[in-house]
Amino acid sequence: MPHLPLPSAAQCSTSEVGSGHWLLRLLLQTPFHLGSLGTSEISDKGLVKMFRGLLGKTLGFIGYTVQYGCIAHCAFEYIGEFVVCSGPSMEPTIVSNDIVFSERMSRHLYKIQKGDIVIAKSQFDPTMNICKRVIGVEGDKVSNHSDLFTSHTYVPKGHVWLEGDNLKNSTDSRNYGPIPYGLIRGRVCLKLWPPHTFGTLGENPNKQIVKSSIDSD
Amino acid sequence: MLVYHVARTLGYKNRFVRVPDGHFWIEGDHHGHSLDSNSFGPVSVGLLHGRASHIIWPPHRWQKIRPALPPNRGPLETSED
Repeated sequence: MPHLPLPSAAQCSTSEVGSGHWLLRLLLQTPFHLGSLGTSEISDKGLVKMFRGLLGKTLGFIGYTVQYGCIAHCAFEYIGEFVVCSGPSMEPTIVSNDIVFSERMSRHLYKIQKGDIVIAKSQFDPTMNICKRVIGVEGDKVSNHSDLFTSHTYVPKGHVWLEGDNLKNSTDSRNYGPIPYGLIRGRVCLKLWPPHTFGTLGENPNKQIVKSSIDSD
Repeated sequence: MLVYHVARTLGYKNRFVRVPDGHFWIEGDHHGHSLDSNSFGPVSVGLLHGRASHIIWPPHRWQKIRPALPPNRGPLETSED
């Protein structure tokens, strides 16, 4: 039987290949039959291909993770975020361990109004956030009731006056003054947990006397 | 740990100011022609947007901006408890 030489690296050690069957020779030349071959060159090529496939998959996974991270970051920065509240200063509207959703768009569009509940960065500790209600915006005259006398404060330009709904147990603008608008992070629009109080949040339970800058004196 | 600085002001309503927790005292290098803490008081750290690190234009002014206090503007009292 004629012994047809196998091209380049496909040299098999067994003498049975030398029988000349063309199909068998073709199959032996392809890298799919790694395990059945005796040569090291074909198995090297197959290994490289397998490694390349794995590298491609890993890079694809990293690419997906980066894309997911960017989209998640944009969502938290411009659309809204979930916030877990703690503390008694906003009772009965928001109690401790409630989960609320705060949206970011109104803060970026400068549409925070009197009566909104906002999440803001703390003035004295930038890593902490506070959750209070906006009582007055810039130009408003806020009355500051105390046991003996009432005083008024004008909210300066670029600032807001915040107060908690639980007036007896809240440190807010009555203690540290108006806070800059730039510290506001977002407006609370929806309460998500506990489920029996799911929904939009209520109005201010306290009667505040606030004269807006456009009201006549 | 309580850290505070006392700054001498230039044209502020008080001569000396104790900078509160979580605030900065910022000044323009060209005082007198600068709208800074001497006009509006200490600034909250939460309002910080970024730090100028390099000048990139015009090309003849390429440089790294080094943090340096002007000679007579250091804090008068820095206390760490």
